[in-house]
Amino acid sequence: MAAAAMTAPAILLFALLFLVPMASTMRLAVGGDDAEFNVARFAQALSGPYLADLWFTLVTALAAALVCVAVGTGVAMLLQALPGWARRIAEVLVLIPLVVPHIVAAYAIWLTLLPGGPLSALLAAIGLPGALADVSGGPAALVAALAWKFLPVAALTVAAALEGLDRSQLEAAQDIGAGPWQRFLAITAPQLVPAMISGGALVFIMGAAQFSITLVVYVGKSPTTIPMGIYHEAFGMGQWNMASALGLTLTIATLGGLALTIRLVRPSGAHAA
Amino acid sequence: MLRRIGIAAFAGLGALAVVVATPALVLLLYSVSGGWQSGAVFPAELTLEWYAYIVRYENALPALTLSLRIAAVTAFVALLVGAPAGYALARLPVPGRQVIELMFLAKTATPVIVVGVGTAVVFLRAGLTDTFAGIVAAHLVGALPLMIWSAASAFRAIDPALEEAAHDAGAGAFRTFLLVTLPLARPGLTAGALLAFIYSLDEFAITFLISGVEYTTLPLRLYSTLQQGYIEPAAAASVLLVAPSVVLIALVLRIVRLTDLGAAQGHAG
Repeated sequence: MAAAAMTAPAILLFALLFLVPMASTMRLAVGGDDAEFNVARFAQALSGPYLADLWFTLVTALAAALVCVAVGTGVAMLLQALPGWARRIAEVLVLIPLVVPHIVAAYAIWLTLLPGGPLSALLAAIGLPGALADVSGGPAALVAALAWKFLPVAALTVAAALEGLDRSQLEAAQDIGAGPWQRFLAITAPQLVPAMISGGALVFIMGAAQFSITLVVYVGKSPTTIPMGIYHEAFGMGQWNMASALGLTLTIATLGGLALTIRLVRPSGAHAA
Repeated sequence: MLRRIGIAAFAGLGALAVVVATPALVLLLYSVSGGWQSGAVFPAELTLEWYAYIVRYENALPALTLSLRIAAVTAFVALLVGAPAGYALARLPVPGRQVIELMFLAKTATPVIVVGVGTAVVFLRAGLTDTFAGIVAAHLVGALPLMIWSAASAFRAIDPALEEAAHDAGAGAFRTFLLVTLPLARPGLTAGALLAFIYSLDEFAITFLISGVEYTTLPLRLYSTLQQGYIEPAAAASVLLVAPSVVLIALVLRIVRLTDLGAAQGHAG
């Protein structure tokens, strides 16, 4: 009884602010002017330009997730390998993207990757082709911005797993003469796989859902991401029904992609363990 | 061997610094740049005029004040509503616990633009578009789960033996809660409220969809500045927006571990 009274205000407020809008989105997605059940919009969302947008959304999010897992695992191991004071510096560095709001992160990446901009100039100064960094507005800049902003999520997820690692196995392996690489590949890496998957999955979901970052850093019209398509349909053209159908399609596709990724990756992780 | 790991680790630290700090540094430099030639690694001269510019011509200070007010109200409501819920979830047999967890999970998995489109439609009908209360309500969708998550872990971490001792010494349930449980949970509750505050301060996407004429928060002001192509003023507005978060995150980290903060980000995403 007391528990229900304590949770009721939070549940009611959350239901009002999340479930009511979502119900409205669902009704708009399948309803129409003639108030009949209408699934044609979902067919439209899964064909032609919108299908290309959906692929673009999922592929850029996946690319960002892979970068975050690879770099994030390195960062997590770095946090453990460094002595106290250097570890503090590394922690502060990891915090930077976490503290920077999405649009600011996107803007910082946009400025950094401007054609003829700072990074381009820096690359040219050390003898590399500066054009490598002239990617502002394109898909590479989108992936870079997503990866930069979400790196801490992957890094800290793996770091938490690394902290909870069973050390006795490592010591046992060392006792029987296993070298550092052998110990890493046979013991540490398999134990980190679940954290790498969940860190990557979080980045993937957040990346595929991103609106603010894409709005600032990516200028392409076709393909673009589904969140941008939703924004354009609803607020640019007043097509709220289509926007809602796209929204539900994206939500389902993201969750589906996630489930598939976990299914594909889990068995190999289990095998390695 | 130790030496080799040491050198590799420090090389890694250097690489991390370059990757993570470069965009932040570029932003900072643009905000004080008095002229940055294409192809130059650094600006030719430095100036603070862009900060004066955004105050004078971009209404940056009223926007900052509005953002701080909205964040304060959002954090307060989140604390008021979320702390009891966190306590119940941590300590009591809550009816329908799975439903609550599923609801928060659904929120995490739903793209913000999808929630935003629904919110825009509902707010239009309810007369909440471009209002102070509407922005607070929209921010609570993200801030409330953060608060509940923080409160639940704060209450879960308290040793029940302490409360039992107070009870054995003759304190009633309410007295025990007020004098033992609440003080022990206070750091965690503070962290939750600060995270809710930061979330609200930085929120752009939903605010952008439901507001911006009468009520322009600092993130909205920043977006309009950068959309007009005012590169340096937009950079200055960005720094102005990040500054309070930096201070607040430093406070949060005195209470919450860094790795837990990563998990919180996942919930707020």
